[in-house]
Amino acid sequence: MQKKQIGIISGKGGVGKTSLTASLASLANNDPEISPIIMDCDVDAPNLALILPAENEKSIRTKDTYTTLKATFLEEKCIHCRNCIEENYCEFNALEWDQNNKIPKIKYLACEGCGACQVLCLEHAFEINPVKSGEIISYKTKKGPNLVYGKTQLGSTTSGKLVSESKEFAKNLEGFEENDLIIIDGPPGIGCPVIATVSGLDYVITICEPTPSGLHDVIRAIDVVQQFKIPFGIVINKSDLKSSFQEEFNTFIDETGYEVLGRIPFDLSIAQAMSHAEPVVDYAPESKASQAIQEIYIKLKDQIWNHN
Amino acid sequence: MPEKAKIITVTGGKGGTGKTLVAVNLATMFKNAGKRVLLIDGDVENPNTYLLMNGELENKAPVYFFKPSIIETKCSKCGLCSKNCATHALLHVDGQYPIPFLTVCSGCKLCYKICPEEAIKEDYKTIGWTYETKKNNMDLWIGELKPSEARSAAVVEALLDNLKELLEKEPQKYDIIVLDTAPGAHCDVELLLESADLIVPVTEPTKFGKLDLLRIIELIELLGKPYKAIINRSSLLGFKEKFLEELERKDIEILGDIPLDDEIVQSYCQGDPLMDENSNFNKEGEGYKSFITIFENLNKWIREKKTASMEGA
Amino acid sequence: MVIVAVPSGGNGGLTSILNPRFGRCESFTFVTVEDGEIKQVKTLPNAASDAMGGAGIQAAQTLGNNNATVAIVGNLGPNAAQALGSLNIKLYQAPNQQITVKDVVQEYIDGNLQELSGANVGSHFGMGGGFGRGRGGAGGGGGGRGRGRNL
Ligand code: SF4
Ligand code: SF4
Ligand code: SF4
Ligand code: SF4
Repeated sequence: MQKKQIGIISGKGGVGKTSLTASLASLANNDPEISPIIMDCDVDAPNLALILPAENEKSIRTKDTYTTLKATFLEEKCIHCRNCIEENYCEFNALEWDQNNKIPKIKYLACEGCGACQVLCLEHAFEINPVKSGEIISYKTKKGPNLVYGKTQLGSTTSGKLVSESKEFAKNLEGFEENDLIIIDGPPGIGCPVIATVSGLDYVITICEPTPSGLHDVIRAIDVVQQFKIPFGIVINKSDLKSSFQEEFNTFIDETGYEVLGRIPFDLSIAQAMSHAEPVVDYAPESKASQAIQEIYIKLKDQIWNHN
Repeated sequence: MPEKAKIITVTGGKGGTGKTLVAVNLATMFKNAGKRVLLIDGDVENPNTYLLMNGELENKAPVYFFKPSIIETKCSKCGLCSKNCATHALLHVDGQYPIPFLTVCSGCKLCYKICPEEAIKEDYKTIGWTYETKKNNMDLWIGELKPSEARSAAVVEALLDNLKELLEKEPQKYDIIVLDTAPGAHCDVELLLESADLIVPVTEPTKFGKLDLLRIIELIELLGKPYKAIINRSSLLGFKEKFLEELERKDIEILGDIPLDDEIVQSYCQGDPLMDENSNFNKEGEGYKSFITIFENLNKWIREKKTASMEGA
Repeated sequence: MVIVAVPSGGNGGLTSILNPRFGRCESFTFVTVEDGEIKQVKTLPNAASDAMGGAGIQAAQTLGNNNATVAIVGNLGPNAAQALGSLNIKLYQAPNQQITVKDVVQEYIDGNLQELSGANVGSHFGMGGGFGRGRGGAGGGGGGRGRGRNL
């Protein structure tokens, strides 16, 4: 099979993205035609690992990343001219006086590492250095396929970069050559990490709920995907939700002609499966939700391998 | 002495925990109690509060962000700006004027500050908008990030600047200000947490919820702010007891919990806050009662804080 | 005469392999072509190969400063494409396979490469500047607000 990369994204979190990813991962893993590798690119809140734990603790590999730059202050060089703060060297309000009002202090979280203070202080009392910004973690899961995920550290300003690095990291894993389906759990929102995630994908699933805010979110997510001209399909979660809004939602889908990859009905077994940290297709294979996801999986394969 | 408005920030490590639900209903209950309330939606990538209240966006004002603009008549093509720009946002080839690339520009203004010819002008681009509107006798401010822009914190900052201005000009205009944050623990969220008197993280009783709660608490503790958590969807499969125990072991205090409740889902879909006086939701419903308890606990907490600070003074 | 720039692996040169990652290749090989023949070869390390951000722009700058008028590229992001475009450098798409600098330049000479009009991959603009806070000029000085909200 030709290698394909797919991502699952949603305009906002909590609409069943991780649940769907985990189930698709499990289905692909049980599919004799496919050798999948799974990635969690929701680097600010990765939790696919809870559903796909390691087969063996010892096989877990981690790599620290140093993609965030921060300023450090070198007190011995400072001549207390006071310019850095009085003349606003820092546009990000990361410089302030220490308690004694004598030397500048850097607010770690606020510093963007932009480098302005380093250039502007003539005494070279500021230095810009990369700091640990996150980790990339990879292992063979109990269920079989490899999992790769990134995890940012507090104060990191480079989530998007960590996503790109995690994707690079996966490419160099042993066995990657044989993987023909890369399934990526994307971050919520429409910011940088999302853009870094969808860049280079062959297909994107946008998942949403049929509520006013759900519609609003999916439109924003689709905006991003369309900028990259990547084919996409919508999955509607809780598709049978009793809501006066259903009609409006359906009209929108009809009018735009967007591809609907599938509809997952409201089903308590999803919540139950999540509480037990299991993909719903394994926890309750006969449930309505699982059947819907199986159909989605078949349609997805058709979309990515037969339609391009 | 009249009191300064209390600022309560509602947050949650990940999306979908019910953060906006809590923010809107807390604000609504304060309003029911006769307080003057301002609700600020700082989830600028996905501002949703107005949808939960059937509101409209009004009074749109752009949020501007610095962009360098080269004044060619002054520029000597020396390339100093380009050499020092850490993000390489200024393309400079010998003998030509530098060309700014705004998608990578951090807005640090270094180029503007160091250009020996003063050939760089402070220019601005729009990266989002703020809105001010009124709904259900409550003022609502919303920030929205322009799609394809990444600087959500600058939009949040615009909201907070407006708030600061308001608090300086009319410190007594509101009794309560409720801030709703984006999911995650980024600098935009940090700004909203930093502004708070009290923080309410919302979570749910699953392994995922716990992981996310701990992540956001790490940031809250770093900022040294008081917080108490709310557990949403607490009736989920009897996981609540175990979850509560775990939180207790970690010394995390709880403001209350909200069970799974059909009426909550309905209020969500209709865009009517569950707790609104004029709504026709069942006042004996589980969801409704849980919010009442949360509100009582919150008021108690506010009173305790007040006494504590008076004793401290 | 045209100077063709090729993003290359290792130290570059005619026998090195074309590196598809334009902004982050190890080196650039500049090949001077005249009357359908390779006349001169020059190599330069890519200073941007591990830049924190704006690698594509910085790499384009290297090409511009070395008078390249043609670039043969594998993957090209939007910033790099725009930067090369604003320097009037013509872009050609390299074949999607391992190929030496020499062979790909020959393909170019033979007219077998397709001209590119812009980016062919998405941006990675999470790097460096993309995500941060940006207090947009609280320190704009004077009484005016730096962010210029009164404009
Ligand atoms: S850090 Fe530099 S600019 Fe700031 S007071 Fe010291 S010498 Fe002056
Ligand atoms: S590196 Fe930039 S953000 Fe950090 S302290 Fe210096 S000027 Fe401020
Ligand atoms: S530093 Fe000023 S004069 Fe020099 S190239 Fe930049 S804009 Fe032109
Ligand atoms: S403001 Fe800073 S990042 Fe932007 S172009 Fe100027 S020096 Fe570069």
